[in-house]
Amino acid sequence: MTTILKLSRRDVLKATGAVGGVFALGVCLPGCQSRPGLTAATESFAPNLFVTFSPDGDVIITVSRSEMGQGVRTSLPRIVADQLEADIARVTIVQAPGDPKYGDQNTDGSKSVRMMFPPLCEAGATARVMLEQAAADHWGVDRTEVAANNHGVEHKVSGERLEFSELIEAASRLEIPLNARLKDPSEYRYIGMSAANVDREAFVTGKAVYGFDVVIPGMKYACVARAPVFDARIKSYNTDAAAKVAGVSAFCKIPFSPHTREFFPEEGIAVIADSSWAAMRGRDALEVEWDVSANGDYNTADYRKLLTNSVRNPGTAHVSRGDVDKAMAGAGKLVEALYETPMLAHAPMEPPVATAWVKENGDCEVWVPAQDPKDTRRLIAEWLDIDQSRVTVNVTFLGGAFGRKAQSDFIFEAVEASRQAGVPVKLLWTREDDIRNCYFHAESIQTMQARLGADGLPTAWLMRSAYPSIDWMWQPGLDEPMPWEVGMGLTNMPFDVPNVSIEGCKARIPIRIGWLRSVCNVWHSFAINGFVDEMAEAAGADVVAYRLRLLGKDRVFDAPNEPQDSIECFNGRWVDTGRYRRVLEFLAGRCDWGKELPENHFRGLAVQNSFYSYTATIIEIAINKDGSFSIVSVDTAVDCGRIVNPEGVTAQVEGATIFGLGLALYGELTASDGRVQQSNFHDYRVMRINETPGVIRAHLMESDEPPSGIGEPPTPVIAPALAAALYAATGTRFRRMPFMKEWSALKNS
Amino acid sequence: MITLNLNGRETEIAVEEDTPLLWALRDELGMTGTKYGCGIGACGACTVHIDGQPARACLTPVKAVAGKSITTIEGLAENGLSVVQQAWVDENVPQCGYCQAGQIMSATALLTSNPDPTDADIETAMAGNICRCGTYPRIRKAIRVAAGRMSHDDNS
Repeated sequence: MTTILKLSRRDVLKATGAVGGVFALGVCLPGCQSRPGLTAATESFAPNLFVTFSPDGDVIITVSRSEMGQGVRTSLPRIVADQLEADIARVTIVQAPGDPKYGDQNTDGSKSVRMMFPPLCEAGATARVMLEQAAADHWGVDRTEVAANNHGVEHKVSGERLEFSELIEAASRLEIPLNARLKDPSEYRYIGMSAANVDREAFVTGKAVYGFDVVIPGMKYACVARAPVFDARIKSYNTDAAAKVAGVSAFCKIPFSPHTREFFPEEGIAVIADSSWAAMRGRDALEVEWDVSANGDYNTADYRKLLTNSVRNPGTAHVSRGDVDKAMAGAGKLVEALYETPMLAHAPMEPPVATAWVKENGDCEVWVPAQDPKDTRRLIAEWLDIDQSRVTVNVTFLGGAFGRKAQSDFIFEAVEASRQAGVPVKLLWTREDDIRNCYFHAESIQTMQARLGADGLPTAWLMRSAYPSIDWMWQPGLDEPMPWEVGMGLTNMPFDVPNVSIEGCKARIPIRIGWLRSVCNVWHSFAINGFVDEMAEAAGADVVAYRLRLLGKDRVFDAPNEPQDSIECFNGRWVDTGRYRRVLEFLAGRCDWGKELPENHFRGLAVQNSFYSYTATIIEIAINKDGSFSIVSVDTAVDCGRIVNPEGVTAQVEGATIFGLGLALYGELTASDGRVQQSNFHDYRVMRINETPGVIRAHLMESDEPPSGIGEPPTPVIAPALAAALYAATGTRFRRMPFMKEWSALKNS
Repeated sequence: MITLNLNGRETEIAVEEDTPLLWALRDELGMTGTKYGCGIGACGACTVHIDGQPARACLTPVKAVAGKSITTIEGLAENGLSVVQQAWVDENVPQCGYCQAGQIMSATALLTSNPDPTDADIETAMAGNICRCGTYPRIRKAIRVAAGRMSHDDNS
């Protein structure tokens, strides 16, 4: 899988020497294939990978992460500009292509800011120090007497000032300092200050170019009839009817690849045409007979039974503390519960789409909404069996992604279609393609069991979780959750319980699965929060007070089973139960937890640590006169370390809340005969504006801790908080998502 | 050949007459501001105005708009931004931005027919437009801001 590289502060910047009297700075990241080329341009100054000065002194900042709505093109340049003392109005942003020189470009795991903060601080500070040195040299003074300020450097004693534009030539001849002083947080001018999205005008005028909007002269359009069942094979196909569709010009076979080849596409027939519409109609007219013998018997009902049986038996213990069997056999109340979550698809508003051009000389260029442009480049090279240097991956705006576009199967399809057709090809997925041929968020079942002591706290807690591992996609035979997966919400849980067993139970699934916003945290948070509430009730305790007692004394620990990539791109401690406690206390206080509510209003609460952030949510619902319920408000507090852009964080809380509500209320896919039964927004329901609560409040906690994730952490707390509110209203535990189905069953019972 | 008025200009489109307006706009005319999201009229990403009324371009064959006036996101403002677009910018509505052209077209149609919409009016008019990023609270607010500015302009 993806190799994640840590951009260590000390290794980021290394001088690469002089060329023709002009200094340029290469950035040597761990794992680079080779040092990046030196820039020979005499008119511009590129002190490092992320910063280039144009001759007029304007700054060009490169963003190496994909923009999919999380606002990286707004937040990341502000880190650089702050340390550089640049005027943000004089910054333009360039989207990096896929290239190993940028290190990890896999835009997932809520890690853009937390991973890029240290190297981008370093990049900005180093350039600033060089400009300060150039100014000091000009005035013949010591560098300690000068300071950069808002796109210029000032001599503190005389008050003289030189603009950056007057300094870049001299700065470009200087040695690169390896330990540039970083600004103190008290000196920040952009970090921590709210900024609106830099691309919002392009978005509201329709000018932003997404994957779907790419136009390459001479390009054709393509649509694929692909395996309706996982790993299905083409038995036969007939193009007669499809060929008669006006505008259809060719057909090409997308070859079968074992699914263990990283994100290579399923077998299919691409219909090449003169327009999107012709390609879609041609595809619909294509007759394909599929051999579905491999997985044609997969269905959701049987799969749920399999998972339910699986958690009845011991699984692989990922945390084993004390003696659970012995303690569980002791006296005291026994609490047990089973939690279920369904199969889901990401359904970004822009379905997968890619434009590829395999040129006459065999080089390949693509224009794609890819979450992981660097690895996409590597895998295109593998697909075409050419050197990576011959592949260019241009990154467009992503019309949403939520994890779907981290798998580049759709891009390899476009590459193959262009290779065979000999022209540039834009290969588009319809919504039906997107829902049916997703890398799905798999179903899961958790069972929880606890024996409560005389104080109401658990003396023993057994957690078993069954779901297929995503690693199964490239590791044949793997049939249980991996440590990094149980590390998302189970083994990093903060509670201080003497006897604990956290087990991953066997589950294989014959469909493609992948990452969806918050990944395993969705089901783990649902189960843990739900069960803590159930234990609290058995103990006769308030859920906030009970959680605080369960936490015990504040502790900081490095959780087992942390994903390697997260360890390498996060500089803080993994679990800090004090931060968990504080976010809970903060929100409970802010919302006056326990206060008397209006008649027929009910509240639920959930807390979770994920992606090194700490999130607490309180949801208030109202039971309406007609017996239906409405969500009155959602209040979410987050501690995500140092915040670069509060406005962006607030937007992420709002969006992740609504995403979470959609999952909690409606999200569900089912399979029958190996086929996903839903196909579009009419039967795969997502949140709409009329279902959105009138009040969604983000409460941001101030913190000096390193930045941590925000795109995902507000999602997994939503379902358990809503389940708790529904329990308060109905007396029925909602242990199965989605809740509208449970609600209807309850109302009809 | 279909002739229509597109953003104030007489325009000819040479496509099969059952081609949805969405694909004629995007592939034939290169106007990519109008987006594909579902193809069944369920998400609103392709919303345009036909003779001033909001319509789903993915379900509208070009033959049905012969001789009619079409407005797309590209034609909403002659210069700069429309009041609604400016409200979207000021309220920092977009996240990924993909659905926002359709949202703005629906909101503009709402405010044209109903300059002072209630919350319920807004929900009803906008319920057909999906935003997976979840910008709905800001969309509501931007519509109210735009409505306020339009009524202020009328009164001044």
